[in-house]
This record gives sequence, structure tokens and C-alpha cells, in this order.
Amino acid sequence: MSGNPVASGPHKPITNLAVTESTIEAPMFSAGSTGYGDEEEVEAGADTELVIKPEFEVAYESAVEFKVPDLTDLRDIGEASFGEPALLEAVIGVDERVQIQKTKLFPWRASASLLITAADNSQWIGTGWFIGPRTLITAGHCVYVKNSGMPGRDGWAKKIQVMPGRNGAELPFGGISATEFWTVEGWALQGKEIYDYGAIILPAPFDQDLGFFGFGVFKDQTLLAVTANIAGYPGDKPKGTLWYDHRKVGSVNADKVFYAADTAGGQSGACVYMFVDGQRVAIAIHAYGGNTANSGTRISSQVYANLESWKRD
Amino acid sequence: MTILRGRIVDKKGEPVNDAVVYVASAPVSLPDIGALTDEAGQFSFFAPVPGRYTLGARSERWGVTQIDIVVGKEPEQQITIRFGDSEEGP
Repeated sequence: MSGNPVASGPHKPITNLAVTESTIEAPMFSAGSTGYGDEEEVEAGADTELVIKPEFEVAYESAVEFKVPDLTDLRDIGEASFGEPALLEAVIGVDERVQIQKTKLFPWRASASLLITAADNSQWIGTGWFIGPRTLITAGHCVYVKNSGMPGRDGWAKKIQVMPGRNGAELPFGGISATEFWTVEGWALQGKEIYDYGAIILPAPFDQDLGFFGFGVFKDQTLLAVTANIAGYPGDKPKGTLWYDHRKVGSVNADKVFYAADTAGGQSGACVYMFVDGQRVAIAIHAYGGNTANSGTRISSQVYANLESWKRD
Repeated sequence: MTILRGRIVDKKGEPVNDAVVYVASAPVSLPDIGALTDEAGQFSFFAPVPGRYTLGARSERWGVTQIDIVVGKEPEQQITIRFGDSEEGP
């Protein structure tokens, strides 16, 4: 691809603050950093983290069917309906998530537990992940509530408490409260699921170099051949604990990546990543459950351009 | 769209605050976010379409419980989730 992409149309970025820092342009692959100290070990050629999962994984994986929704006439999230109106679950089949205990290691510390205070002071939990010392990526609905139906709730979050590497009551790196957020018009104005992504800008970096995920734009064929890794802070597990799962990518379209990796409410915004030469590279932002496959916003060239522009040192 | 206004209580009917409430299953794809109950044990979600939903709740004291509900076409629906019926928790 020649030149650097510039997000436009529904991907046009908007923020709750006056812009004081310039955006940047970049190529289509952004390298990550492991930060200080130790990293979780990676086996040569591995496409998943080196954590032990239950043995029933293989038997179940083949039973998962992916039904890709038709997104050509996608409506607002408040109306969106995908597939048959059956009872669908975010934890698909047997719960295969594994709790991460060594959250001080990279890449776990590059994900953060989010405590979100909405405009009406209601509180929510989500997940975010670093792409730079001061920037976390998350779901758009974590930074900008849309179509809640509740008076006074829609709009920018009042504040978000960011707690990287959280492990229950333990906050190994402390927490920082953020009030600068970004999303795009396609989410904030139109409420469309395919534009559901955003960013949290910290007022200052954490004291320690936590590291951050790389991210990139990849072809359909590449994504369909890889394993989606996802770690986040689900609400059905002990408070503030980090859980990991991985499954092959089930399907993709221009704007979304679908996978059967288990999630639960609170994992919105988690990093969906693959391995490239031993490096962890984000391919999507987890945002939705409750369907035949869970799904995230695909890092397309437009999303990529915004992520690059939201980086802060 | 139906607003689900809920309240979480313990065995004695006392409100459970700071519990996480989430949609465990739904007829449609929904944001994978969790709500925290306030001091009165209250929370609210929206259900975009009628159908069967399963709401999950987790409290550090009471563990996990779930409730199945059928959402109709009413603009608002009241829900009470009671801890103590679950296998988990004290």
C-alpha cells in the first residue's frame, strides 16, 4: 500500500477534549514492546501463550459453527440482530478460560482492568490494552455510551480508572484515572457496531515501562489461519482477575473478526492478538458477546490509522 | 427496546452493592461489558429485542448466580436477582 492511511467517513476520530497534540501517520504494522524485565515465555513457532488449558479443547473446537452475520445493512446496536433469535452465549460450550496469576509479566501487564464511570455516575467494568506508554485501546462503548436508553447515561464516560496487570485486589502498578477519550463518528454518532472502538489517553505514563502490544492490518487469508488470543477481566470471575483463552479465528469480514474464545461481560475492549515471529500483534478489539461467535472490531487500515494517531508518549 | 431495571438482594432481601451484572446470553450480539450495582443494589441494562436473556451476577461475598428472563415489548421491565439460590457462595 502506498502512503499512509487517514481515517475518514465514519472512522473520523472525535474526542471529548480539544486536540492539543498532533496526529501522526504510519505504515501498516506497528511493533510492540515488551517493556521492562521479564516476559511470559514464548515457545518457538507458537501461536498461543504457554499456559495450560483444559484437555477438552480440541474435542469441542470442531463442534463450533460460525455464522457470520450479514453486515451490509447493519443497524444501530440498539436494533442490531444477528442470526437466528435463539439463546446464544458468550461463554461458548465449556468454559476454557485460564486464570493468569503472573500478571506482572508482559504481555499480561499490557492489559488493564477498567473501572468506568458513565455520565449518569453508573459504573461499569471493561478491559483495555496499551499501544504506547499513555494510550490504551478499548471498545468504543467503554469510552462513549451509546443507545443505553437511560436518561443521562449516553455520551462520554466521566472518567476511567486504569489498572494494568491487576490481579484481584493486587494492583502491581497502581492505577491512573483518565478523562481524555477518543472514538469515531461511526460509533458516537451512528452507534454502529462495526465502529465500536476507542482509546483512553492517560495524563501521564505509569512509572514502570509496562510494554505494549503491536498491531497490524492483515489479509483475510492470514487471519483465517491464525489463533485468536484474548485476555481480559470478565465479570463472572473473582473481581479484578485476568483470564485468558485462545481459539482459531472462525471468520472475518471487512470490519469484524469472529472467534469462539470464551469471554464474559467485562472483557469489552480486550486485545485480540496473534503471534508473528514470537511477537504479539493485535488484530481486533474485543467488543461483543452473546452470539454464535464472540467478536471484535477488526483492525482495518482505517482503524489502524486511528490507533497510530492516538499514540502518545 | 426494553430497559431492564434490576436490583440484587441477598437471602434476607438486603441490597448487594458492588456486584457485577452481565448478560450471559441473549438473542442478539451485545456489548461485552459488566455493570456494577450501586449502594441500593440497583443496575440497569437495555434489551434491544424481545426474547430470552440470561443475566449473570457476581458478588465477592455471594459468588455467582444467574437468572433467565423473557423480555417482551414493554418499554421497561423490573428484575430482582436474589443471591443464595446458587451453588456458589456462602
